[in-house]
Amino acid sequence: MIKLKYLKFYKSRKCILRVLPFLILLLFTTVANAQERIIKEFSEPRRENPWLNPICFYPSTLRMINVSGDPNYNELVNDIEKILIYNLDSATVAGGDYKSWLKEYEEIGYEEYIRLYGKQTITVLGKGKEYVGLFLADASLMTFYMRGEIPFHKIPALMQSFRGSDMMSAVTDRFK
Amino acid sequence: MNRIISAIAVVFVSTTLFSQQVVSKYMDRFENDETFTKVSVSSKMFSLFSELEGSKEDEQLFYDITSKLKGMKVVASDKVAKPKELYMEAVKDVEKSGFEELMTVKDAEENVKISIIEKNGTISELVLVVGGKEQFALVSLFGEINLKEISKLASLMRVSQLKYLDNLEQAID
Repeated sequence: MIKLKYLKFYKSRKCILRVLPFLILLLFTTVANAQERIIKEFSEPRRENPWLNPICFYPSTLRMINVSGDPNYNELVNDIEKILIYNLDSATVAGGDYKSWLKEYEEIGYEEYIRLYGKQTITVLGKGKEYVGLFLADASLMTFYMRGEIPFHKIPALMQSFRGSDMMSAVTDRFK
Repeated sequence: MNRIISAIAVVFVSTTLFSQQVVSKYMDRFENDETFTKVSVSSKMFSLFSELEGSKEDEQLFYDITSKLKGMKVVASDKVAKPKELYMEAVKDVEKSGFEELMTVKDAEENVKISIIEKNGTISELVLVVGGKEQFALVSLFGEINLKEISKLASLMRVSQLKYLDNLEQAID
């Protein structure tokens, strides 16, 4: 009798409506974690300072570093859900295999958005709202993962306003 | 009928691949040479190089031009040992790849050659070769190109090699 009651509940529309959001959330979390897994697996063991956690920004912390209260900055980061930044060790730079992990992202459908190499190396791959990439300059290598929307045309002007500001030193001080 | 379609497809694909290979060839050749800057940008990231000073008209124009483009590739250096030879070699490679010369600008300082690939009135790629006293640049813009619009791109982007596109406007007028 009890079993029959539960069976009816499970089959009911009410039950489906209750369970569905959790399933969607679980699916979204699994997919999001899968996208971050590749960069984490590559970058975690190669961190420059293993005793320091990678820099991770969420909407609240992104606004917190805007010491000067620049409204353009807030507008830029408004729709960013997460940024994960790793500073990698010199052995990884010297080894030269720091691009290998990007191939795994290409295999799951990430497209090359930008590739610049010469004195500096910049690579950005993207798929939907997710971006991964690396910056290499003066033997300093940084890998990143970002989820969210970003108005790219506002970046050049913002970088200009960043130079010499308290905001950038607040970020770079973490690496020292 | 199927054979004809296949033959057209093969010709189309090979031309497309071949043309884009010109710049890629030079990117690969100078991959480990730090004196050369190599850039490959998809249309989604063009806005990263934009230089829009708040004008909505400029923003709209920039969007109109870049939304039809698929990407841009640049190989450039300010310290080339034999710039003239490299320029001549690149010009030959561009010609061999099926490009049609659009215009040449020669002065005491620089040689600039702009070539295009056009089919049925649609330009699918524009290549710019620049050779100076020490400079060399090879730029490729691909996608759907409108010459009048593309000549204005130089003023909207922070890519110095595109300044030569200004010459196009004078040529069209």
